[in-house]
Amino acid sequence: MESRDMQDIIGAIHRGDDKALAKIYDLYYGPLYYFIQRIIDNTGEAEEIAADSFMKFWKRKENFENLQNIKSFLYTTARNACFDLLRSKKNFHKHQLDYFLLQPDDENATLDEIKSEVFKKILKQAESLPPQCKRIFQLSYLDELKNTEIAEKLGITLQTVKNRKSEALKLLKLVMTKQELQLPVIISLLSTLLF
Amino acid sequence: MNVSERVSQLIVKHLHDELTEIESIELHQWINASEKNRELFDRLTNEETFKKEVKEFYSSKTNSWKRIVAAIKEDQQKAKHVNIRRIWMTRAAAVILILLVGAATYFFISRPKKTQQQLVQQPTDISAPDANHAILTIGNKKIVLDNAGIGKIATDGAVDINKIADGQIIYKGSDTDIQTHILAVPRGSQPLAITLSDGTHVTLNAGSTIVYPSSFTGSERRMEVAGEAYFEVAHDASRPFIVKKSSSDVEVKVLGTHFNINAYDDESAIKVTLLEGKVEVGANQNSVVIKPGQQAVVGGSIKVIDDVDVDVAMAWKNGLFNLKEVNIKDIMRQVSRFYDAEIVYEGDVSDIGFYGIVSRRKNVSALLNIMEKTGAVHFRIEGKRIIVSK
Repeated sequence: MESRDMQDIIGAIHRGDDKALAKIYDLYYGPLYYFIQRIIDNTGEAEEIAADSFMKFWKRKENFENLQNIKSFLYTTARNACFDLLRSKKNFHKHQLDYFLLQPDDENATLDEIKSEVFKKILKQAESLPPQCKRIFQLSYLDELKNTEIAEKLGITLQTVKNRKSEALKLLKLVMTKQELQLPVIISLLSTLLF
Repeated sequence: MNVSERVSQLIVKHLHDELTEIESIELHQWINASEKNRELFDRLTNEETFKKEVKEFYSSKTNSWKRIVAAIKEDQQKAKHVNIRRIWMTRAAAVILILLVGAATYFFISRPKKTQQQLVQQPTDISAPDANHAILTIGNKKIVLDNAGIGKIATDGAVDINKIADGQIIYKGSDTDIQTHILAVPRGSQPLAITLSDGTHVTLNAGSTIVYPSSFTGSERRMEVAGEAYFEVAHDASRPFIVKKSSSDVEVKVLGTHFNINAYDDESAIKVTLLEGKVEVGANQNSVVIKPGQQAVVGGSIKVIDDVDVDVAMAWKNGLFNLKEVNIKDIMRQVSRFYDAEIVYEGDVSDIGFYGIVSRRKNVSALLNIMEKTGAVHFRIEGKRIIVSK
């Protein structure tokens, strides 16, 4: 990030601008969540710890001078919360506490960032789909409603739902492997992606 | 551009089948550099795993953001000045705008109820009580405090009884002609705070009742309690304050102090925890004086525990379940009173203990999930019944 942009963000954070919080959240949420989830292995608790870490950051927003400070703070806060949670479960059953997981780990951190970036980019592209396509993409892909449920909810025909789904996938142009195949194969989106 | 930005860009291009030859080589160099790289690449390019993981990414990011927004709004609502309230209105609007426009979430459309259920709620669960449902009985008149408006709710001679904005009950005035009042907080209720006519402040837990005079006359201030209550006794050197457990001989005598008395019928012993001041706990012919940080346990005899964890004893008043070194049956009794749930045990679970702190604002599943995570116990919720098994 350019230093001018960084200055702007830090300034906005100091002013308590909510949009700055959203930016920091967007920047660091994914990898932080994955880090926590590796240790805690429970999505609900991981979400809670992640949210708490950002809230704690926001409560002392005036203290941060650069993004690296913020990032370190978020990870330290999350790490401590994980530690507390693990320790609180230690006494009454034999959990091997993987304390080493709590140490900073560059390889996993990079992988977390890559995974997070890929999803952000794809979801962002989905953001710019035409409205009905986007809505149906969300309902079927992310909320996992069945086609019939979507049709009922939006008051459109089943066929329309299927068409829009195909359109959405075509516009997103996602090409993926299917489980059974060993070699990556280019798949026709219209016929075989049965979301 | 750093490694993760570059690699993610290449992977996305791969997903769109838009890689140039050189880019493809670059990507495959990265893939081959480590087993973990290859594993990640495979997961991101396989339809099934991609679907599963993008959904987890999306829903966890959305859920956490909801928490943050809720917490910010709550903080802002606590501000008391009119000016700050005005800012809150614009800030709340700003926060909502972010959800629409900002990069933090995607697909913000007014959330349909079904989606919320999928993301957040369990199919059967018991929610935390939303208010106290106390009943004040004066003579043969019963007042349901929920229904009473704010302001004066009753009079007894020269004593006025008021309800204030946060639900607290306050007695004002004194009289020589007194009546007995009974205040009962049922199971499945939030705690209730009341200030008696001498200024003594009492907080009552779910499943508890206090019996007291409308005004304290005479050389002693006497009242009764059944269940659990936290006292902040108004100092009055000339009149000792005496709390007795209903239908028992156990009495706590205080001069001016803060203490908690846990005296439920279904608990094996009465526990008096002292936070400040000095109390004398008596039962039958025995009595014991305890100091702050001590707890008197009244069973057959009176035992004093030094250095008790006051946080655990007071957790209920602070809106928490604190499970430090507490046996599962003790916890489930608290759960039963607070959520007004029936507890059924399948098998012998008596040797299981837990450690943790959970908010009492949440559905019972929040607490049960934490306990289940240890693998030592399993819960099923059926309506208002919780079944506990190994």
